[in-house]
Order: sequence, then structure tokens, then C-alpha cells
Amino acid sequence: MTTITALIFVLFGAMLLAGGKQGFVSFLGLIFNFGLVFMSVVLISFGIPYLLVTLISAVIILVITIYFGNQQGRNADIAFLTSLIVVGLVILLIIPVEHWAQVQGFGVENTEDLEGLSLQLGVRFLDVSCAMTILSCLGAVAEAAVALATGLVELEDHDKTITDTKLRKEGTKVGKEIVGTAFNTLFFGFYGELIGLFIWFARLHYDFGMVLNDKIFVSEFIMTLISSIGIVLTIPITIYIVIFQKHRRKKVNN
Amino acid sequence: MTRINPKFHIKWLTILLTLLIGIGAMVFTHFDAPFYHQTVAQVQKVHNYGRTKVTDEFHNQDFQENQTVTLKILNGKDRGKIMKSKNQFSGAGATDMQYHAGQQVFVHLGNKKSNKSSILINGFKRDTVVVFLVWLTISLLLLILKFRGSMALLSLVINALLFFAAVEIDVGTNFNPFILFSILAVIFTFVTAALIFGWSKETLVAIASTICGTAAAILIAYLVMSATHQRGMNFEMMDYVTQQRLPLFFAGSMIGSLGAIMDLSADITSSLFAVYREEPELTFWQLFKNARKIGRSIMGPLINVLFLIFVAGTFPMMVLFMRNGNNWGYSYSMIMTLGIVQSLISGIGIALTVPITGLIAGGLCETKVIK
Repeated sequence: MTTITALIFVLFGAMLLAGGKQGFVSFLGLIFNFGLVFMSVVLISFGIPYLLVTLISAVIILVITIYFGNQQGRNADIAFLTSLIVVGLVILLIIPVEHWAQVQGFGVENTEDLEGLSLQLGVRFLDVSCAMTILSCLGAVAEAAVALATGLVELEDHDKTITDTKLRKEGTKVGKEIVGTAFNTLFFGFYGELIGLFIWFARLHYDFGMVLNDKIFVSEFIMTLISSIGIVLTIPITIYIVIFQKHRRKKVNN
Repeated sequence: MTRINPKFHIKWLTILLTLLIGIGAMVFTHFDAPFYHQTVAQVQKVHNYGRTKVTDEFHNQDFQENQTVTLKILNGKDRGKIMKSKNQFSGAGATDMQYHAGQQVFVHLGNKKSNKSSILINGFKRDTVVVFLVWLTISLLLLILKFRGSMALLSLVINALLFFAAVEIDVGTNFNPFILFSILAVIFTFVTAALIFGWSKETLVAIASTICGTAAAILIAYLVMSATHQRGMNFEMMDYVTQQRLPLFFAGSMIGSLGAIMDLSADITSSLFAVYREEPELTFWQLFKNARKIGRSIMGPLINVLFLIFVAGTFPMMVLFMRNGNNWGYSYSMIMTLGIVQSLISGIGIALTVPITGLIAGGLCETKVIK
């Protein structure tokens, strides 16, 4: 048995232990998500327009992440709508930023890995970078949206007469807690992924300016910051949607 | 109706000030060449020589183009000098790029002995875009959350300093890197939890379960890898390696999953204590069940966060491999396995944290340690 197969079994067992049936559904969602991400990279390498591939798989990944292994209800719908809006906004930021930063492809630190490989492939690596950045922020946005929507819907159910001001205030309070932990999830993930690169920088005595302009560092840093921006944007948008729906319900009832 | 709402007034002032700071910072990076040790130059104009079609041995069709780039040196003793450099780029742009007038680059100047003064572009200046994104993130955070967002920022800054200190110790001494980064992980947990959740008994429970969850994940990963003899894992494909691979891989997996595990254990702990305060007569098993109920709905999305980051990060290498005549299976096993194992380890840690937090928090409530 390979290590991956064994670890997948362990993860399956751990998720069952933690969540029972819901853990099983979450596990299935993870497998589906992997299939989607893998198909996306295969299709992009075939030369199919990256934006088309990424947009379609992004929507499906959001559906799976939000609706699988979660109590389905109004909070999930709000979270899904919020995620769609936030990811749309973030894509509008990602494309110009990636063109501006020129972090596509590989850096000087990758030189050894590239030996003997053809680099003139007919696929624009700038497109690959955009696809990578868009897909990598989906998880963070969905997680924040689910947590915030669940908190706000609970609040609303608890107190049917809650005012807009109170919702806004409480939403910001819940948002603060989510941002605090979610930022650390992202940045620890960033350090964990790039620990080797940072040791490389230190060993070769890169100065601050060299790190700040390094292709790989900037590429990964952009991914982390874009996800952070996505999380922050989730707060006002979720609050706005909850308030908007509340007013619409009132109108219908009257 | 002539009275101005002061709240509204301040808000506009804040937005104006934030914008001014952002523009100021970005203008600064445009003129910061004197602060660099490396030579910085600005592209004055470019001349392109037209595209030539190229086809490689795998029938990939691309183009190649040469350009002459006129550069004006912005710092050092050759400041103000105008020089010409040649650049070649391809459509794929995997390691090369097309330059445009106005961009700033790092250059390497040839030695003075040879009469022909040579100049080579060896990097693109990216500080403006980094500063822009950092500014955007901080501004949005502070505009939306006001001062309440500042603790999150403070914890990020302190953690970054701690991390770089640990990297320096790793490089400067012979200390075992795995032990070093384990100590760092414990410090990370304490500092972050104290800053974000405040200091309380609940925070201590969250810290204890975070450390136990992370340790359990790493231990299980180690046992599984030993039992399966690391079959199918291509450690030779690890990127940017300058020291022993296995301890580095475990250190990376540990630090990488720590944030998500902390997120989950804090969520469960605070909800569980809230429930317990409302109904103090709940038994251990009821509390444990409650922990699972809270945990299982957050667990899935949380595992996805890291999974998507780790797997999407392999995209450029995957495209490169598949376009170089390798089939899906081989590309997957060479490029994606390490990222997947890293996300599996963090997934196991996240899932196990649910019962672990339930045990610790439920046990403490049951023994009435916490009133």
C-alpha cells in the first residue's frame, strides 16, 4: 500500500470519528473537490481557456464545500451567494494584479527542476497563475462565509425583532473573530508551504529587497493576501445580504 | 437640516487618509531605487523584432521574440546612464517575460575591463504590487472592522518575526530543525491564541487541544510513513531543499496545519463553554456529543481551505510536466503527491481535533475545574 492510500484511509477514519455520517459526506466532498481541481489543471494544460475552466470548477467547488457535510438551510444559501459575489470581486482583482506582478511560471530557485524540460509549451503561464490563485482562495472564502452566515442566521432566529444596526454590529463582532483565526490559518499555511524557500533565502543571504521582489515569494504572497482580502470582503457582503433578505421577507409578509 | 453628521464626516476623512497613505506608499516604491543594493533600471523604450514560430519535440507550438530594451540606470555609480540590453521571450513565459516601457527591473552590469559595456536584466521589480496588496488588505480590514481588526494584524506581525527568527536559528546552528519548529509551533499557538481570543481558561483549553491535535497528526503521519516505507512519495521532488528533507517536510506540515487546527479548537471550546454555562448539569458525554456537533459542520470547509491552497500550488509544475509528454498518472505522482500528503496530514489533524477538544473541554467541565 502506498503512503497516500494509507493516509486517505486514516483521514476517512478520523472524519468518521469526528462527524459520523456528516464526516463521511465531508470526506466525499473532499474527494470530489480533488477530482475537480485535477481536471481543471488537465484541461488548462490542454489549452482550453483558463477562465472558462476556472469559473466552472470554482462554482462547483463552492457548491460542494458549502452544501456537503453542512446543515443545509438558509445559512448555506446566504454563504453560497456571498462566496459567489466575493469570488467574482476577487477575480477582478487577481487578473490585473497577476499581469502587473509578472509572477507566472518558475523562478531562479526552480532552475534545477527545469533541467531538460521544454519551456516553450504554447500555454501561457500567466493564465496558469491566475487559475491557481483563483482556485486557492475558494476554500478560505467559503469557510468564512459559512461561519459568518451561520452566526448571523442564528442571531436572527434567536431574536426575530433584531434591528439592522444590531445585526451590523453583531456581524462585525463575529467577523472579527473569524478574521483573526482565518488570517492565521492562511499565513501558517503559507509558512508551512514555503519553509524550505525561506531557509534557502537565509542560507544564501538574500536581503530584504531581494525577497520582496523574488518571483516565487511574491507569487505565494499574492495568493495569501488575495485570500485574506476575500475573507475580509465576506463580512460586509454577508451582513448586507442578511439585512436585504430580512427587509424582503417583511415586505412579502405585509 | 444644515447640521453635519459628525460620524459621516469622520468616515470620509478616514477613507481620504487611507487613500493618501496608499498612493504615498506606492509612489515611494517607484522612487526607492537608491535603497537597493542591486542596480535598478527603468525601461525607457523597447524595440521588438517580430515573432518566430517554434515547435518542440512534443509538438507544442509557441513563439519566440527578441527585443532590444533601452534602460536608464536609477542608482549606484552609473546612475543616469542609458544602456541597451537584449531580451528574448516566449509566448508561454515560464521563465522569461516581455518588457514594456516604464517598467523597473534589476540589472547586472558587466565588468568595466571589457570595452563593450554589457548589461543583463536579472529580475523584475515587484515591490510596488506587493505594497499595493498589503495596503489594500490592511485598509479593508481596518475600514470594515475598525480597531477590532488590529489584533489580527498584530498577531500576523509577531508570528512573522518569530518565524524568521526560527529560520535564522535553523540556518545558523546545527539544532534539529524538527525540534526547532516544534518549539516554534508551541510558541505560535500561545501568542496567537492570547492575542486573538484573550487570556482565559477557555483559551488554555484551546491551546492544549491545538497542540494535542497537531502532535497527533504528525505522529500518525510518521507512523504511517514508516509502516508503508514512504512508498509512492517522491521526496526528491521537494522544492527549494537545502537540508535534510524529511524533518523539513514534517516541520512544514506541522506549521501549515497549526492555524486551521487552532481555528477549529477555539470554535469548539468557546461554543462548548457557552453551552455549559447555560446548562451546567450536562454530563461529559452530552458535552462530548455537543463538541462533535459543532466540529463536524466546520471540519469539512476547514480541511478544504488548506487542501485547495496546497494542491493549486502545484499547477505550474503540473502543466509543465504534462506538456512535456508525461501522462496524467506520472505527472500526478511526481508533482502532486507531496502537496496531497501535506493536506492529508492537516486534514487528519483537523478531524482528530474535534474529539480531542471534546475530551479536554468536556473533561474539564465535568470535573468542575471551571465554574
